[in-house]
Amino acid sequence: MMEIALTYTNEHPLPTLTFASDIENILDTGSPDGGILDGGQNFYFPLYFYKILNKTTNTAITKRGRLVKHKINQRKQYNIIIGADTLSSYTTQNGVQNNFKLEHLISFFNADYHYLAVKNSTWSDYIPVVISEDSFSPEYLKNNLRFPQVSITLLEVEAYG
Amino acid sequence: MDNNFINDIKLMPIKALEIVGYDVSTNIESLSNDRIFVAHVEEESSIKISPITTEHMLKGEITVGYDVSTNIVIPHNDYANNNLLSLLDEVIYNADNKTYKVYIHFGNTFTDVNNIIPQPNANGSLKLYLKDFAMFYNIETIKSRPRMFLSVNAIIGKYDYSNTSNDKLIN
Repeated sequence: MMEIALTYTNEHPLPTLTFASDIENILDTGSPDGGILDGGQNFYFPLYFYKILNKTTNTAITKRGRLVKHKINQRKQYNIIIGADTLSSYTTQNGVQNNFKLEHLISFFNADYHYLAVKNSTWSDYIPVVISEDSFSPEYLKNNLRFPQVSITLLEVEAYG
Repeated sequence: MDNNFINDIKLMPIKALEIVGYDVSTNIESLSNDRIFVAHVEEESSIKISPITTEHMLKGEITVGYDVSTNIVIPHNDYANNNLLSLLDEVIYNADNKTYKVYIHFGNTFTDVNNIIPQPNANGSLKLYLKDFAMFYNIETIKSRPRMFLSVNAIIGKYDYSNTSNDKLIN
């Protein structure tokens, strides 16, 4: 199954884009401000992971009436759904929902810098991304708070081509 | 599977229903005045546990939790003298003020209730524990005999009962 890592930092970007499974420890010691770089990483098996290519173009009509469309750049978009199988919370004895993965997603959503790493057979480098959505709105399977499901759309920061 | 597998099949009819009030913060069950114990249930009582699934792009369906629906048939129709209707109404309508959990006893389970009825045909035991349940009842007359059909439905998550040893779904 495909696995992804969602990594975030606040105030400063990651010093290097090389993937590290223990990035949280590295952030604490090697941050550029000399102190503790606030960040975190968590791993997910997404229900859906689509890669979409978005192309920015410039369309014009020449004086002879010929239609031209020039590609300026293209950008990858990742549509991700993290499902209730990963995010299912359990209720502790005093009725409090204890769900650190959902908490991590909220921290990821509110962070300054976002990174995505994808594992097919080996882990890719960190890909700097921005989050397309402006609100964090989980859906709940069967309208039950135990079964949250989060859709998130990530756009690569760097365009190419 | 060996030739003696038939001996391993446990006979565990639904035997009793127990509704217990408990303190949410301490998980301590309250005393007998907050405990309803129905020791006689009919044979038609049933329980169905079906998975709640979600689609996955590669694996088909993934189970995220279970839908538990139980139908307990209570034959004794002297409800008023036993105070059962008002007790059940308290569970159903005052669930915001008090918190209750439900035990469904199968086969030879033991409880701390003294007047337990022995189950002659059972060679296995199981105790199912439900919380955050929905409950309602019908009273139906079949032929000449009124009976109560008590439904207890609950949705449980895959990880609901894994955090503490006290909170096991099945004992």
